[in-house]
Amino acid sequence: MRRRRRWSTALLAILWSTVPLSAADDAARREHFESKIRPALVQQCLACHSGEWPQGSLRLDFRAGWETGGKAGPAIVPGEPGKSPLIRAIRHEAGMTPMPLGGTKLPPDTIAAFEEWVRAGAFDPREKPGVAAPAAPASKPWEETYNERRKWWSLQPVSRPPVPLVKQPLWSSQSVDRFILAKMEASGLTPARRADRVTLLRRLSFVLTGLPPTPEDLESFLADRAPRAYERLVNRLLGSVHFGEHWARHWMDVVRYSDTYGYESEIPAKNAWRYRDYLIRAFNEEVPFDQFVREHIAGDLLPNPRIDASSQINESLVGTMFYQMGEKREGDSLQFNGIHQEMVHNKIDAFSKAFQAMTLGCARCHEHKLDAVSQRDYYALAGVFMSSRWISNTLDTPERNRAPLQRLAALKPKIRQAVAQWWLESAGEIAKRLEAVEPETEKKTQEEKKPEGKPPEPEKDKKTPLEDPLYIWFELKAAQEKGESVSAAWQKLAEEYASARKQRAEANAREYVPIVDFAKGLPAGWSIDGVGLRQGPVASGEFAVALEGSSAIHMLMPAGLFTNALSPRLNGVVRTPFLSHTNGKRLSILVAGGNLSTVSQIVDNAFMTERQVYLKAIQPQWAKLSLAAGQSGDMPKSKPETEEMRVWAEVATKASNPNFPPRIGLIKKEATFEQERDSRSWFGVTRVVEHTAEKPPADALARFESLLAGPPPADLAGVAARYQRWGSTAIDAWGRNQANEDHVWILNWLISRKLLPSEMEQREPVRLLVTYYRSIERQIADPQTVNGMADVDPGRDYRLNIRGVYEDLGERVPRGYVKVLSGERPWPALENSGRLELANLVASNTHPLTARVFVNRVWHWVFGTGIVATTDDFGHIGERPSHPELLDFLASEFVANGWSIKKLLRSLLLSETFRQSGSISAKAREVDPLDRLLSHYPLRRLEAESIRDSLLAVSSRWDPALYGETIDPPRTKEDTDKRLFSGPLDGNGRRSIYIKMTIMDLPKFLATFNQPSPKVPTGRRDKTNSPAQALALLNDPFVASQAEFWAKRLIEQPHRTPQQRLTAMFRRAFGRDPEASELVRWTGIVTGFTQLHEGDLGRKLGEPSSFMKSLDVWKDVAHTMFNAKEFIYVR
Amino acid sequence: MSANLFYPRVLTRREWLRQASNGFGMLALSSLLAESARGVTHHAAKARSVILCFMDGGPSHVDTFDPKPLLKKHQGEQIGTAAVSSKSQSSPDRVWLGSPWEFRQYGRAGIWVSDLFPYLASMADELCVIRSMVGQQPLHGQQNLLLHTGRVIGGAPSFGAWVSYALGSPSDSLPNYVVLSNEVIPNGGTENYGSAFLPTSHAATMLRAQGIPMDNIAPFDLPAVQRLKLDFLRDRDSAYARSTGDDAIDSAIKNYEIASRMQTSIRELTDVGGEKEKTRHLYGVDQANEYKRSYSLQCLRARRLVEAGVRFVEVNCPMDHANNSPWDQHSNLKKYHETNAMYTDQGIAALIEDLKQRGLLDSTIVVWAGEMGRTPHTKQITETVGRDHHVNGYSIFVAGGGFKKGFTYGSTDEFGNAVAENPLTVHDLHATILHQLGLDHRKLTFRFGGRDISLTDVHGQVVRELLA
Repeated sequence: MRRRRRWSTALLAILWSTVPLSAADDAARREHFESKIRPALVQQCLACHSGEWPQGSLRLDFRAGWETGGKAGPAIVPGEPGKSPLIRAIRHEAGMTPMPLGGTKLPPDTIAAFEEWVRAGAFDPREKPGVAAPAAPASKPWEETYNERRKWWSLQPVSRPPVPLVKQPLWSSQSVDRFILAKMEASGLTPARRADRVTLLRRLSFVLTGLPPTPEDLESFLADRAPRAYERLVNRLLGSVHFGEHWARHWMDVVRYSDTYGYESEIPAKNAWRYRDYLIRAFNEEVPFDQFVREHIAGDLLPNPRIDASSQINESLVGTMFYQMGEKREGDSLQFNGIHQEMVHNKIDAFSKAFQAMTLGCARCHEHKLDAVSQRDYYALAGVFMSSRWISNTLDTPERNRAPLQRLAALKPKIRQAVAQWWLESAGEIAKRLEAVEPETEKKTQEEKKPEGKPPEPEKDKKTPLEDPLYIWFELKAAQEKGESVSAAWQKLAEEYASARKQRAEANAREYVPIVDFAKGLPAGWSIDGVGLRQGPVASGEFAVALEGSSAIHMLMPAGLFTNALSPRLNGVVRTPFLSHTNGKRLSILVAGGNLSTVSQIVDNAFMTERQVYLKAIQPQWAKLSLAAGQSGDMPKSKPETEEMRVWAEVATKASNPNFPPRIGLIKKEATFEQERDSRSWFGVTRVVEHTAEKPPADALARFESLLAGPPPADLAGVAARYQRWGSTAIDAWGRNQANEDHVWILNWLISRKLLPSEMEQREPVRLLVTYYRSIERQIADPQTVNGMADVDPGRDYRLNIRGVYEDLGERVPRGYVKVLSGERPWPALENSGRLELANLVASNTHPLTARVFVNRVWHWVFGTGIVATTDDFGHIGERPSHPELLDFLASEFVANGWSIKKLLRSLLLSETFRQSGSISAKAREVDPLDRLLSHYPLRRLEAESIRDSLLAVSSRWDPALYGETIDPPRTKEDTDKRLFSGPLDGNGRRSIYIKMTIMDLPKFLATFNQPSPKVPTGRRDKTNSPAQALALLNDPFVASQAEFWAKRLIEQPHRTPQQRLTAMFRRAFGRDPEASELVRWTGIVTGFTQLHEGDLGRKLGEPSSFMKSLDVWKDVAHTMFNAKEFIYVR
Repeated sequence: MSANLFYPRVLTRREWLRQASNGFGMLALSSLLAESARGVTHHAAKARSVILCFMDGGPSHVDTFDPKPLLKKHQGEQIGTAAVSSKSQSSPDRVWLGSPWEFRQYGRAGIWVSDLFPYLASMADELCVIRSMVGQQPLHGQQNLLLHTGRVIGGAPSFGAWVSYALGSPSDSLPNYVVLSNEVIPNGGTENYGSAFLPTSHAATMLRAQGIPMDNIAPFDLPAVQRLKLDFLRDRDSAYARSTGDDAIDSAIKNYEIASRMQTSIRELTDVGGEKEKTRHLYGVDQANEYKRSYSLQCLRARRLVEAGVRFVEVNCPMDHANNSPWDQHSNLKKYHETNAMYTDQGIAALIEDLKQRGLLDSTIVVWAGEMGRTPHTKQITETVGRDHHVNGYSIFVAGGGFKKGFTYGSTDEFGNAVAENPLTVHDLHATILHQLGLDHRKLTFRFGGRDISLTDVHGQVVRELLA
């Protein structure tokens, strides 16, 4: 806007009349525009002159843009190139800001083409902003570029290079060493000598388990003088359960693991910790890496899922939590346009970096600038990921909880019999109890709570609705009190109900088409999941036993799908197919539920929908799936990007709701944190109807027919008797397993109105049965769920986003994978998403990248730097491999060994390369300062987790338990409104992998030592060396607490001399014995601390026992050891 | 609040620091605060520091700097479809809401300021008010990250980190980018203050108003004990460094020296006990109200930091209620805008005045900005009425640093519902501030992932109309 000022406003006159009508026909003008003008505009102008806030307020991305022009008026005067500011600017005429700004002047033929275009009337077919700019023709056709780029080293098949010959074959006969030595020799380097055993033990312990060796480890390894002692050590550590913890944490960097989806408030990433536990098991149990890859990409689709016998988990399902990690935002694309595309971008970026070390994300807006990846490749993969749903998966195998569930099921008929008998016997009290019922007292108190200023609504308006049986009762009671005829009033009511029934039944039949009856099964496209729904639909009259309090029965169920028939802790979800939103039809679902179960509507496969309604009704009620945008109205149909949106709905218990709990603002008024955590949550669904009417179907009131049938009673006692008969009939039918929907309704009503006895203490047989039921119910372990993906709908191709702009939809790109990695054959037409095909492709033995990338990661984790240093990028921007043949050798071995990670590790750890000492030769310092040729083992600082874990292990505070829910990190201040809770200072002694990773505010101690932010894959951590790290070790209360914890243990031990104690401490902290000179110096500092802490201790120096018992002294010795560099470095 | 509470052994340490002869902690305050920038500018700089008074949550523009009398006139009337925008929380059935505060013109330039800010109003002739800020999405997380990192999705270095990276640090024991925090983690998370791919030394150092100002800065040990440890460790670690032959150990040792000095320097910088009574009074650091006192303290610290050469300081608002963020008044607009204004008004006005008196205002850019404005309309008018999110035309101001004084730039329509002229993006703001610091936003880049990345990406331009 500011640069356009100088354009003459005299040009405002638009001389339409003077436009010379070119002889050329429309086709020729179009051809000229499309071939010359549009590409030039796209390449040279639109970067600044498009979008909502274009430079100089001038838009050139559609015709009206230049017609209106910028601040200085229209940019083009059709027919008058000399008077068109745009032409004058690109000609760099005096007084004009030369365009393109900051770029070189356009070539003369391009300027000529613009002049010709304007002279011929500036034909411009672009009616709408930003639409349909074809991909800018590159200087070279893409095919040509692609054919050059596909020759890149990492895209070639993995070869099996011969092991090279070396000059010093005696160094090692192992293949890995020969590859390394050959390169060293070529640079005139020689390997460092072998490291001593003490160094190797500490190095191996940290590389494999992330923990320091124990004094016992040290003793037994030093005692083992047999030739294969080292190999035995490697095998022992590979077999440690703590190996899995350490290597799972490595992988968690790659998949950007976090426990929350934080942005405005930390929304729990549902049970992400189960995925963490899955990783620990997978690394410990040697799951082949190709299987691991398949599970990550399509674990939900594998024909033979992997089952973990001990936890009774379908392991394969857990893998897809991988996709759910990373950045997420609340809301959907209808609320915030483009949110979904942004989030899918994170998935594509993470997938391509984690498994393929490719930067596929770069191809979102244009062909990749450097690699053989086209923009079409990006959208082919986007189509695959967008065809799946983001849901929560149930992991329990059918075996889990089988016994208690069977026992509960067997108990229920007995309970029904006993309760029915009880109720039948007490049915005579219904009339009496009814007479005591007061009208709507609860509602009144709620009304009174409303803020003052609004007068309470008139009593008349909140009278009992027709649907409530009490309506009849109160009407008649009122009639009697007014001295009117009860039978006449009854007659009137019977007619009122008859007419309402008829009217409603007719309207329902006319307006609403039943499409699902859940009692009879699921129509195509609908799906269910969850332990609570595994037994299928319940029959009418099924019931839920009350699990606390004095009542025996919580509720009765009409026929349908209910999650709580055996226990309200069983999970479940019912999902609709993708719903078409353009046919004007709405769905309504008859649903009951409680304890924070929800009906959710998901627009555009939203990652975190905000369209959630909590269910709070025992009697099923109609819930309309309005698919509303904002506050009112159905999905807008006008925009093309809206038509692309996939819309669906689900009814779910807490555990099966991928977005429970949601951000705090959406639940704060509904539940406390304790209620959120309570594992109970239930729902039931019975029917679905389709309709065009605005409202869901009305209650047809059929249940009142039997109440109102027969001659009118004479007085209120007669009326009560009718209710009693009405109830008795329902009880009787229920006792005989013949209760219909109306009977169930009536019984639920009787229970809720306390018209049936509920004090089971007075009914011994019921009390015994229910108490027994409750005790078994408590044995049920909560179902295990984790977020993941599901394919339930036919896949759908997505459209290319022109320049990455989601409103600018280009051609539809068939679902598939990166062309250069698909064997270049187009995929056969796919019914489903294509994820399984993708998984098999990526995990195939012949894939050029998958094995190379992972083997390189392992090398990085063992040696500190990968053979390709840029572990997440094997493309042109990444670094070239230091040992390409070795990389291929390892990759081919890896595949040949069944993708076994432990075999791979063994071959690296047994190598002489790994066993070298850390001493650097003068020559190496000169020719290979970065140690890329590995002529010694590099000095490495411990990773953040190992520093914290070492503090715990050395102080003996460590709790070696595996698995389980996360522990909040300690915080200086909690913010519960953002779910930033504070946990114990020492994390209860648990390893760092169990500390909660909250994106908004990462665990501070770990972040200080470079634990990466979990937004994008980080294969290679930063290794900064900062004063904040020094401050943390010097002053952090956690470090201090561990020093104190350790010191407390030490002063209890019967060490007789400081030397003896210091030796024990050295073994724990540094994994070695102190040298004699070190003992002297450390004894010196013990004396120093003693003098400082206990001024009067100078007198007692002759009595060793007093300072040997001083907590202050030994805490400071421990703290000093923690601050020694040797503590956090490994050589 | 006395500094001695947190540094009970201060004197002893200072004595020790002065006596120490081994190089450890030997850094007099004068040299600590000395300017020793290592950065290179692209052109002559007008300013050398930035103070961002961040109004977390989004103050309402139509209640602060952008008077809209028509709102009062049409209060309660539905806004209609034409006023609905994806850059506001809006729907046609919402109603216009007039401001509960009166606006008046102040200073020679007649700058409009509402009654919320009596102190700032008195500084009107120093302010460059921008009434036409335009954001991207009306969401806190996105807008916060946009204001702080130039990206709505984060993953990029903070503005302060860029400035620190570009201009260099005055001293290695003094943080160069400081967030004077009130312990509210802003929406978007601590990433707002991160260094992302820039060296971590450019990430913000958080200094709290209450208690010990910085994590791990208060020594855990008695001074003599720490001295013994540090001396011992230096000797021992030097031997270890020699045995490994690796430079990393040497720099880790050096970090202990810096850390040791920071224990002093941070205290010196945050302790306002030595300030003159007049100055303390100007800021209101002895106020009875704890929130106002905290904020005023942080404003005074901001001046001390800038004086010491710190390049980028952000001052955060205190939060006395359980909203999403301090200025996020979806309800109780009147009540909480009033308290927020009361907490912050005097401190910021004092900061501008104090900088001016010390001749520092010309070289310091003070920015007052939230991440968004608030809707001129609401769902329904009640006693506890509030305003919702709005990013299409909202107000901020800049003072000092070569920006125009007593100047108003840009405007919104007559309802304050959309920008009317001179829209200014956050990228424009960043580019213009960088310009005043002697930096070209297109040239200030860092190569990461194979690309030269800048704060403003491909956007933004220097808006010379704002500059004196």
